[in-house]
Amino acid sequence: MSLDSFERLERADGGATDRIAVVGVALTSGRAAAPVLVLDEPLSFWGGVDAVSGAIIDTHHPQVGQPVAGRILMLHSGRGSSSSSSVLAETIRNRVGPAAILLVSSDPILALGCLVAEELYGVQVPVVVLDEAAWRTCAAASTLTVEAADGRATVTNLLPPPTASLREGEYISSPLPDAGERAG
Amino acid sequence: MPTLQLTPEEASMIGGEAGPAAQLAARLVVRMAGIMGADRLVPIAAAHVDGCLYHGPVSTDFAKKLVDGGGKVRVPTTLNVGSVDLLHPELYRGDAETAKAGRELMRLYAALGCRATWTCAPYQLQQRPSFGEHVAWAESNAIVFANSVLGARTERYGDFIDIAAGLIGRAPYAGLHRDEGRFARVVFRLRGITRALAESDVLFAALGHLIGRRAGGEIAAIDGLSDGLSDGRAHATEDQLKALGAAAASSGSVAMFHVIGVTPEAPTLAAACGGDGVGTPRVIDISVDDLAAAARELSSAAGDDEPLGAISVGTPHFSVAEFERLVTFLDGRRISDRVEFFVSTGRDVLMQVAARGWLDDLTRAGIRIVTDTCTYITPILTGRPGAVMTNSAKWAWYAPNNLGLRVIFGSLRECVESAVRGEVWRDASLWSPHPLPPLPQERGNISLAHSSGPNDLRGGSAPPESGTTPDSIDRAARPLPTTTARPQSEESE
Repeated sequence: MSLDSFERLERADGGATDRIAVVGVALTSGRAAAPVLVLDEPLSFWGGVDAVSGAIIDTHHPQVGQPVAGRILMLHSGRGSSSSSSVLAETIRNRVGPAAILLVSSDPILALGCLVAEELYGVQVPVVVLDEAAWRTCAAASTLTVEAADGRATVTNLLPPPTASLREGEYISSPLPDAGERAG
Repeated sequence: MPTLQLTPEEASMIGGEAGPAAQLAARLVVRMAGIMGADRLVPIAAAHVDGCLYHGPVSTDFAKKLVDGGGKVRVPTTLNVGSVDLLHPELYRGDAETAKAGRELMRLYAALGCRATWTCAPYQLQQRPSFGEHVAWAESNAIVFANSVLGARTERYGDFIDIAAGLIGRAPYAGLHRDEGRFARVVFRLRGITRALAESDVLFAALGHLIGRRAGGEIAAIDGLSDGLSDGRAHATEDQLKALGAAAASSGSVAMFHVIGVTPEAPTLAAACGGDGVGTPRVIDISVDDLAAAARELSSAAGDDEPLGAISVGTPHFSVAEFERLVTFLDGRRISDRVEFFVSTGRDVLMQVAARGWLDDLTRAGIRIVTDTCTYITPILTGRPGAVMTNSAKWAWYAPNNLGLRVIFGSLRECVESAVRGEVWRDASLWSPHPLPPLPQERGNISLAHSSGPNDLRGGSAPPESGTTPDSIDRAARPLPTTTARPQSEESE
């Protein structure tokens, strides 16, 4: 997404919120700036996310129907099958993967899916572990910027850095969602 | 995070001296080691790979990159199920393109030097890990079996990292590879288990389902299994423990359990929990009512009076001992024309079944055998109207979502009787609140655990460490109370 659309998104959310800046552990590296999707329960990508559309399809999940595509996906932990690595990597290959994943519990399965997608397709999706309080702070934001490298990540609700510092394709996100489509 | 120390050989693989495939594999294993908090890698004796099941183009892209990079496994590596049954391709009912991609993926993994075993029950193969050996196994039910029943050591590996570990012969030394990572954190104390239940398959499936729900990913210890047994000593067959682990790894992410007095790292509750001085685990009391509720939860059909369309067993793959039970329960009868009956198994087990002459019996009975894959991950059922009955908690957990059908959960005997009748039949003795009196012929059979008959395939494995109780696990099922009589509802399973 372009920076323009990001700025418009901020305004559509009702103006500036409190500034958020937290530091976490980066399981994988990358940068992202995107709207937030907070999950109320853990999610298994295998059987829980459609790899073609990027939507949550687990009928037992409270956020069923919501798109993970281009979102800062916030969930406490992954769940279930280790085949979730594959499905997550498929979503990234299909350009409908999350822009970043923010966890409370470290999840090697989700991290591995992102590592493989990076090895095969050169797309980086940061997976970040935050402590509970920091995670909850971030969950209150409507959009977040994630910068993760060398095992360390910063998450803020500030605008992304100036365009000059960006390279083509560094931001992965979906188009602006309609007002009614936004996740709580 | 601790600093990861690599040996010169490991460092050279990272540097690319063993070729591009080993380099990619080493890079992934090292990255995962960092994420898992390992301070070194550990040499592994074997690997079991789940990545050969086709999920999409990423599966193929990854395998192809390894093949193109000159990848060959460094340790004996077995393969989990693929997307198609290579021996019975006519059973596949999905689209041709997926079958083609699935078949190509299976070919690529074989090209990496993996053994074409195509089974989710690699612990049924002649060669299997020994007590204390480090391995890198994928497939949740195989992982929990390796750790719990064999006493081998594996973390929860899965797609990509499984083959990566096999290619470099190393795994991150973390979690379940370490002594302190294998102690129970929660104890399930069984109350009032009857003999009928203790000797059934449903108890273990229902218990596993319940443990997965309540323990999540924690290591569970199970105490009180001996309550209803006539000799007062806990024991279980490998098939029962398979059912327990597969269920717990489906409803939860359990990677290890201890059955006190049965599994090799649990001679006593204290040993399973790490001995004195380790934090007291939480204790959860489990009644027969709790287990009955768990068994009911596994049925997604409206009720037992729903029409029956199919029966599917063998998730995880059916063992030789389970085939023996199946043949015994069938007792020469044919299944009803109203239903179809599938058994999923590994091709190695199929060869043993054929050698015993059971294949003709099963074919005559109308039973179809699926190898190399499984009925819940690939389209095989023909879509007859009606619910599908299974004795597998894992199948009951995944099939409704994967295949969009309704499941009736029951014991193997209930499955067989229902198949013959063409409608659901229930074994009234199973959930009876009162222990059944022991049958006379049962006593001699229990000691089978100590024999090394033709079913005991453990010959070459290293002896377990002292203090363990491997004799409490029967590799084969105990013989049934009767081998020729038609099952009566008064008998136990």
